[in-house]
Amino acid sequence: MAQKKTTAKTALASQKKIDLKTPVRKSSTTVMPRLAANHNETLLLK
Amino acid sequence: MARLLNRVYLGDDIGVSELRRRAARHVGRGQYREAECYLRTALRLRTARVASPTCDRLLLWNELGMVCKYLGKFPDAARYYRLALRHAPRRLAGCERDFFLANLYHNLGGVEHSKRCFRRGEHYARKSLQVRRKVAAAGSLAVAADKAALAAILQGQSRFTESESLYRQALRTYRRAHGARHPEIAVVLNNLGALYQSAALHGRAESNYRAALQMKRSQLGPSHPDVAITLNNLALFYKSRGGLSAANRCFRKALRILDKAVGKLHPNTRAVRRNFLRLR
Repeated sequence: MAQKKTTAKTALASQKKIDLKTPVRKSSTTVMPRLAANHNETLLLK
Repeated sequence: MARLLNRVYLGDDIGVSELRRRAARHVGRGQYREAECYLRTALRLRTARVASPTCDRLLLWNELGMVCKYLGKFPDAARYYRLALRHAPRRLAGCERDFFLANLYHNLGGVEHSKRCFRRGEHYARKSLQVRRKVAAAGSLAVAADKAALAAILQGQSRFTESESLYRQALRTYRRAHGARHPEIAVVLNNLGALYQSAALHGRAESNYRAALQMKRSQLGPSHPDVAITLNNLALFYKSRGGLSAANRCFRKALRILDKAVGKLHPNTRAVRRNFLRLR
């Protein structure tokens, strides 16, 4: 039972969590996927 | 699609990422109802298997928010973005967190833009640009997308000079990255057309609308709901120049597309119908 708990904890810890000390790299090739940020389109009203 | 979703309900291990991929494909075609179906299934699957919000669920909330916005379900869209906003700082860190937060602010601004609450939208759009600049280069596509989104919000407040300058900057980045033709370029051209129409620069308005329409049709297909937006604007342009029969044709085409793609009750469909009824 104790072993099971440890395994679950390890699995949780290994879930995607990036180290806060990761250096900030500015990328010039960052592509915005079509399903990440929407576009604001102007629809005129009269 | 029904067969695939049945397999999910019967317990087949169809991954969340496959459902997201399919949703993204439908979004590209403007088939938002289908995309919503895939994403809601993926979210149910993810919620059933994992109790605490995972990175997957954060992405799903953002994607569902976007699809809800395109479907005119603005309160749902805002709710999903806010959920992601609440949990993202605990689940993500570093550049990944900032980039994702910038997306969420960008998208919350988009909801306000759709609701025509431009002042509130500007707050979110500026916040997205501020966070984005920490992690993305000035000439990146992500910064360009934020600038184009902010420009549309400023345009809604009739701040045309600032808006045009931001559109031009975004356009330069898009053209450098994508070449002459791309759906994002078409959106900017449509918006510039509307901006020039508001400023009574008729020649520029028409050429931008025509370029946007042609690009959207070839890049997205003739039945994509984005095509209908430009048809509506072009119809109003023709109306303002006395071309009532051309305006009539454009409105009819726009309504045919919107009725089928997003339904009669969608805010854009209703707005175009109101515009059309004022023509007669």
